[in-house]
Amino acid sequence: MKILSIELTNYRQYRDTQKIEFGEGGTKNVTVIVGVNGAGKTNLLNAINWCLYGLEENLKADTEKKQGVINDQILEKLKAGQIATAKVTITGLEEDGHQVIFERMVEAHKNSQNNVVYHDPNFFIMKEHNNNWITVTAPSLFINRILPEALRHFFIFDGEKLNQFFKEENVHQVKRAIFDVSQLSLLDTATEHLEKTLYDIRSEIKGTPKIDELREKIETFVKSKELLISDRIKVDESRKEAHAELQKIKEQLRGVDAKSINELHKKREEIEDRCKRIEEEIERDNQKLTNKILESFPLVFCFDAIDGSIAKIREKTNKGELPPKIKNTFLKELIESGECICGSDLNDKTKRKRIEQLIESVMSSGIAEYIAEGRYTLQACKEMVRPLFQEIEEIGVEISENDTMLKNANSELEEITVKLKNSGSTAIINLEYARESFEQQIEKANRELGQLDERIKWADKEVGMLNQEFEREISRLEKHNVANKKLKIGTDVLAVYHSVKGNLIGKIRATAEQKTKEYFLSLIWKKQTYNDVRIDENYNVSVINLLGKECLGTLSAGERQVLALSFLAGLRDVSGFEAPIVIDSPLGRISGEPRENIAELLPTYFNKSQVILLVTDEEYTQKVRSILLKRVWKEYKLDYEEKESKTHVIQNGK
Amino acid sequence: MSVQQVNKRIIKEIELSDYPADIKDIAKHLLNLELGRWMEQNRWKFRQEYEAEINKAALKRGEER
Repeated sequence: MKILSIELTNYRQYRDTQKIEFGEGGTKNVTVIVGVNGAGKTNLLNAINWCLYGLEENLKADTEKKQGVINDQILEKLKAGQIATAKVTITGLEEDGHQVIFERMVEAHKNSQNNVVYHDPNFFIMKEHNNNWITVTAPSLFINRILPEALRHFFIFDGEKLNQFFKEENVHQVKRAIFDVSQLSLLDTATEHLEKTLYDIRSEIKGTPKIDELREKIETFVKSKELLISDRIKVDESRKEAHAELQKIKEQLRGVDAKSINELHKKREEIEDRCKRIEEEIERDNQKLTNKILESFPLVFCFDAIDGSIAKIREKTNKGELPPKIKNTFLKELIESGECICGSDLNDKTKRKRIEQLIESVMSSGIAEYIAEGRYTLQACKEMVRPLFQEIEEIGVEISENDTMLKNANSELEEITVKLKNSGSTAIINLEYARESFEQQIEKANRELGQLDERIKWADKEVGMLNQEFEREISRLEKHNVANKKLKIGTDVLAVYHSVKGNLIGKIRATAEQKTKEYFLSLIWKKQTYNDVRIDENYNVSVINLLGKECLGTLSAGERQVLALSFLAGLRDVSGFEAPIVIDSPLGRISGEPRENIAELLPTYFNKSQVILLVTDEEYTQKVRSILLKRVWKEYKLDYEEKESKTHVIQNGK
Repeated sequence: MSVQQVNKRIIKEIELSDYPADIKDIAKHLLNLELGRWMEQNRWKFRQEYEAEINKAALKRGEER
């Protein structure tokens, strides 16, 4: 679907009715909306999200959240008993050439205490059909067909926030994004229904006390797993909330109008970045160490035995006991010939017995002969252990050096915190305490999540084992043959679903990785620096430089923004949806030549789609404009009148 | 990507897996049942699309004659 126009009536600073029309695509697929900070760019993004999904996620200040969507001037002039209305209408064009209208409206009135009371919003969709208009009966499902709510972030987003994408909680966000784009809810529902069916089959089986006991145990574990999952959701929610609050506090600290405070905050962000890099390095080294230990484990385990054996062999050799002086083949030849080398007759019973005893003793020393030769093998094994020890030691030294660096960086962070807490400004002190508290909350939540994940895994494993035992038990009872067969088939089908889900997500991850790499390497201006982008099986994103080193932590804010933009563009491709792309401040954190480079390439990447760019004057420089112009269908300017608290939408050239 | 397309992708992946043929058949069948259920719940969405397809076919037939 393409957006033909958006009409805003009394929505935040868009007082009265303001309309913006958009280009449909083709070679001129870009619509540019320019406005200074506060003119209403982000609220245009909010208006689209509010109209389609009833959500406003990009409100810049708490005051905006408290205000509600109706223009504050309208509300101020409202008298008790009167009603004010805000409305956003989006007109779209579907692939079949039919138009669709999405409209969300909200009303509010003032009560006798002069307080504004909001009513429930109304939302409807109308679709053109055979020259008539019909109202869509299930609007949210209709929107899901155009662009599911979970995927909207890949199409409608704030470019400035992209900088955070790979900075904190990247694994969680990347994983979530790939899962969302996979759209495997149908497979999940089938799995869930099958699990319930198998649960019912098990419940119907009346059997021995052992079967009943097993069933009871399974039920207990399933219930406790469900509780753990619901706990996990709660903890995750609280972590997300704390994270959002933390971001807000950081933004406030960044915006403090005092040079010394700004410098401290900037320094803290630098040190935090450094800490993250060191922590990643320590983690990689720990992994390397584990691999090395596993690789050398058998040799290390036997090292003392090997060393002892070599010493023993050396001792025996020095005493002349190794290797044996007489070979048993020689003695056997003597017996067979019946004559000694000195000419004595060996048929003599006493002499023959003596030779036979010698053979026996030499026979057992065959082992000694083998040991004597094996000394070289043992020596070689010992030699192999040395470099491994050395490597392990080197990694250990590296870890301990990084540990020291991390400790130092953490002390620097503590110093900054102390300085900020003693800054004398109550506002900053409060922000600092709040920041600390939210960081602690996040850390606590992360720990809890780790524990819960492990418990869920354990419960899963237990249920799996108990199910197997249950099946074994009922297979012994002939009367349950049919039920057993059903359970066996059902369990096998579940295994198919689990493996298919894993494979599909793996494939989508691989495609997203390849697309992200493709976009990133084309968009990034340092062509001679970066070589690869990887998203591993645990959803860790890494950027590899030409020397083969991981360097995600050292990317600048602008570079990180390009990486996130590339990732979103990649996921958008993978998702298969052809919805408009709306980006607020796409070039906000990028300057100079890189900005022009991106301006040139961005519309090409979103070639088939309609692109709506919300930019500031600073972003939309003459150079950027001249580059983009060949792709621009219309340009608008948002003119904010502070006195009136109203934004006018003016089409360029009109 | 529509739900039908996602379903096709899943079915293809099931076919490619190494499980016994009868298990794969049941896995596909249950998934199709799930798709059927989903379509039943959302059948209003398809009415227009189905009608458009039927219209297109009828038009084509008219042209051929």
